[in-house]
Amino acid sequence: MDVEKLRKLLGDADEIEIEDFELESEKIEFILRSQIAANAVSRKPKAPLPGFRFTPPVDKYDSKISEVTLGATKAGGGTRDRELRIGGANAPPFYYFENYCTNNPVISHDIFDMPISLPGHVKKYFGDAMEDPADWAKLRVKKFNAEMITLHLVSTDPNVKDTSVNEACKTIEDVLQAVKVPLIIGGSGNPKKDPELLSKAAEVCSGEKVILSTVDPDMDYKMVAKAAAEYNHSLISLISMNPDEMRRLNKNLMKTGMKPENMIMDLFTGGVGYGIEYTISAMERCRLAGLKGDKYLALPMASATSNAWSAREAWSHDDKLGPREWRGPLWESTTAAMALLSGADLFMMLHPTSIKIIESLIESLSVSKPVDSGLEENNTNNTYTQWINV
Amino acid sequence: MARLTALQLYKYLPAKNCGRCDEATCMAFAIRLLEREKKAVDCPELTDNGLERLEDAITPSVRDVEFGAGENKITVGGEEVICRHELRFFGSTPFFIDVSDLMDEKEIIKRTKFAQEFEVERIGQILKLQGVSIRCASGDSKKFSETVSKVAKDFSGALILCSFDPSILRAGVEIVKERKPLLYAANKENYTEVLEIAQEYGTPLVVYSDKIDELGSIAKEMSSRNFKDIILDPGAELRGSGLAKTLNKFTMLRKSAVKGVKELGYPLMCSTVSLWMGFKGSSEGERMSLAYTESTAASMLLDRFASLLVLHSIDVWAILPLVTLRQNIYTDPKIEPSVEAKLYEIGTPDESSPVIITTNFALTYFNVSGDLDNAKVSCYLLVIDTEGLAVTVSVAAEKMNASTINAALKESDVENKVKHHKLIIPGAAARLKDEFEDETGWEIIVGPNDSSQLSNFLIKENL
Ligand code: B12
Ligand code: SF4
Repeated sequence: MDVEKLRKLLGDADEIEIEDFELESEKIEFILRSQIAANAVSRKPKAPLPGFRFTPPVDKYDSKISEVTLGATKAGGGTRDRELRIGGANAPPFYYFENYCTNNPVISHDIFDMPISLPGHVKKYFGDAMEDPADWAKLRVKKFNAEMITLHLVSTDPNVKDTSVNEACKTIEDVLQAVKVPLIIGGSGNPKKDPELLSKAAEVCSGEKVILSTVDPDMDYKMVAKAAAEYNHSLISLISMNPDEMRRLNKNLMKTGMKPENMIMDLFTGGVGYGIEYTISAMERCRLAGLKGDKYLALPMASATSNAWSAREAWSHDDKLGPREWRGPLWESTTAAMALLSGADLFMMLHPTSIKIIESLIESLSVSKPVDSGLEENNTNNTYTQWINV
Repeated sequence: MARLTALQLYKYLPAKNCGRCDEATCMAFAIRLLEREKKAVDCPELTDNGLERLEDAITPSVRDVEFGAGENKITVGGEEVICRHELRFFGSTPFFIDVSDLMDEKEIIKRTKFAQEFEVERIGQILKLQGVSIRCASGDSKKFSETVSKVAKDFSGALILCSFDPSILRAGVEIVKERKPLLYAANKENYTEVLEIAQEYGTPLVVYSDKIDELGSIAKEMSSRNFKDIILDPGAELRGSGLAKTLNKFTMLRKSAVKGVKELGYPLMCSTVSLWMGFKGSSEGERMSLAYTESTAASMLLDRFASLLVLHSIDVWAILPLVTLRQNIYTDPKIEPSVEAKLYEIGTPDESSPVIITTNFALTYFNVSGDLDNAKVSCYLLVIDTEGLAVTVSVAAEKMNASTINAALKESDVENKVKHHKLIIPGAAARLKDEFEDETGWEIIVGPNDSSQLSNFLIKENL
């Protein structure tokens, strides 16, 4: 018999019985893989194991997270080439055994209305396109397959360039022309200027169903909310990691006329080592409250994951910490992975590598039917234990 | 089981208030028990029966399991909750570096050294790797024993010995028995023999099965034989939709434990080594991308209840986010860690040294003082009490303001330690410059945004 064949037969065998066997060679050696060997020694009969039957620890939730549509196609009165939907979760994130079911989270790629300071190894992905937001947007869509773009109008900050609202609106129009994916329009964070900027942006983007980002209690958020409601856009409410304040802000926004179908909340994503411990808890608390019926917190969550780049480990030149071309993107994607597990539905991200990693994570985790609860597990080709033999 | 309150725990104590436990009263002892700062056995007044009852009452939903010896002893598990806002997590997940007895000697030494020497300082804590996991891939107990001796010689931390063959495990544990290694693993075929070894050598063991029913059955059988030092490995698929299954399984197991299913109330572990299956070590790019994938999978498992992880990669950049994230996940999200607000001397300051201001948030203080130390700057660092908030946060929350700064200046008496009147403030507090100047009468110099630029700034500005 062919040796290879014999080896294969042995490899799959539970038991070997040798009949009518004549041996002519001088020496024959059986090398059994350690696992088979382990079975072989334990052949002696054994008392049956005590019974244990696992029941998945299922809870019921009263509520569902609202669903938000991003962008409007022609049918919806806009000019975007797609409409994306986020939200709709009916159980905590990835609790498939509780029938977790939601729209896939969406990643929006960051662009800025002026060249911003970035490590050289990140800049090289964007090159000259950083000079012109429309080019930058095109590059994001064509080369990096962006499903969505966030235009950060940082230059409008009076302490930066004080770009006028009118000029900023021109930039918005350019980007709307340049790409056909849904957009997020981000202010500069200046509480005096953002209300005017975002309200005007609402008008300029009429029909496109953009997201206005962000409103917080330090600014005239009612002004923005009114404009968003009038032109049927969505908006993101921002509170740094405080569920009670988030609830209060969302309640006020709803009083101003915002509908849950047009609201997203951002509890602020501190990077790994820079606040993620608070982010995780704040997001978990809000998601659970929402599922348990608190309508002011039953909203999809956004994560401005690029915050991770403010962590020193993401950009520092310290060679002892390993190459920063790998370290930086990993810092951002690890931060995103934590936000994902905490319930984030919409990501605003920077680095193409981090984005790719999170895209593939989202795909891996988007099983359409609930994963079997572990009861029907019949993994005939489970390779996990082979880690011992790798 | 729901977590008991201190008052409920008090009922299990002798109520003698004798102080033999080094606490003033039994109530104080009950509080320490809750905080895991004391153990039931620390009260010598308890009867055997009473001790057993108390221990039963305070055993966490996820049992705590100890292994390793001496100062390298580690405790895994000990959790009561799913979410950290209810109660913090306790058993900070140890990381083990993978070694196989088929690796060549150089590789084994390299890995062992890495595990021994890896160290990063963050917020005043030294973050380390806890152990080496040695697996018998050869199937040869002699080769395995040799590898165990080799590792044990260069490495003082905790050890895991891996084989499904009880005779190989026995050979390995015999060599390092005084180190109390963790045995990996008992399955439905070999559990009787592996249990015998664990009982004989007083070590904990891992039960492996990818079927939860089986995992529970084996654990139940062991606990009926009075053995509870168990860690569960429910198996993990780490690629594609397998990852969904894995997260689902880990979540169900933790939730079941918290809901009181005793058979599953043990710490969970996972090895991400299987990700490297099929990797031949030829391409550097492939190696980096596998390290990336492994780091990502491990961080997700860390968030989703893995109490112990075995890792293959020894790339610093891939381990760094993991040790940092672990530090984050195992701190109490309700408490801002802070340092004492006072005047610190960095290096050997004299009357012409700069005076620098920062806040008493631990992360801020250690970043700033670390940067100054590294750059060998001598200065006075005046730490303001901002109730443990970072500079950016305390500026936003108005905890860093003219009057807190003025009070700190007065109290520190720094005025009489330097002959100038210049105060350097963080860039993030720039907008408070005029306010500070008016209130303190000192000249305020706005520094850079990040403290890593501070020493360059001092040189450039001639300060
Ligand atoms: C974690 C965090 C929190 C935590 C606080 C944790 C803590 N202990 O501080 C919590 C959740 C409590 C929180 C609350 C709030 N936060 Co907050 N928070 C953060 C976050 C994510 C990280 C802060 C941090 O840890 N930084 C790391 C430390 C090391 O940085 P640092 O102290 O600034 O020190 C660095 C530099 O300043 C410099 N430096 C320090 N000292 C010195 C000295 C000199 C001389 C020099 C030159 C340099 C220097 O070097 C250090 C680095 O090496 C930031 C966002 C961010 N990425 O910065 C938002 C952030 C600071 N928060 C913000 C806000 C608005 C708030 C709230 C007011 C929100 C609200 N409405 O509730 C509250 C206020 C808190 C309160 N008590 O009322 C805003 C501030 C916006 C602004 N610029 O005004 C930020 C920027 C987020 C945002 N974009 O909205 N926050
Ligand atoms: S030793 Fe025991 S009885 Fe005495 S005070 Fe402490 S807890 Fe109470």
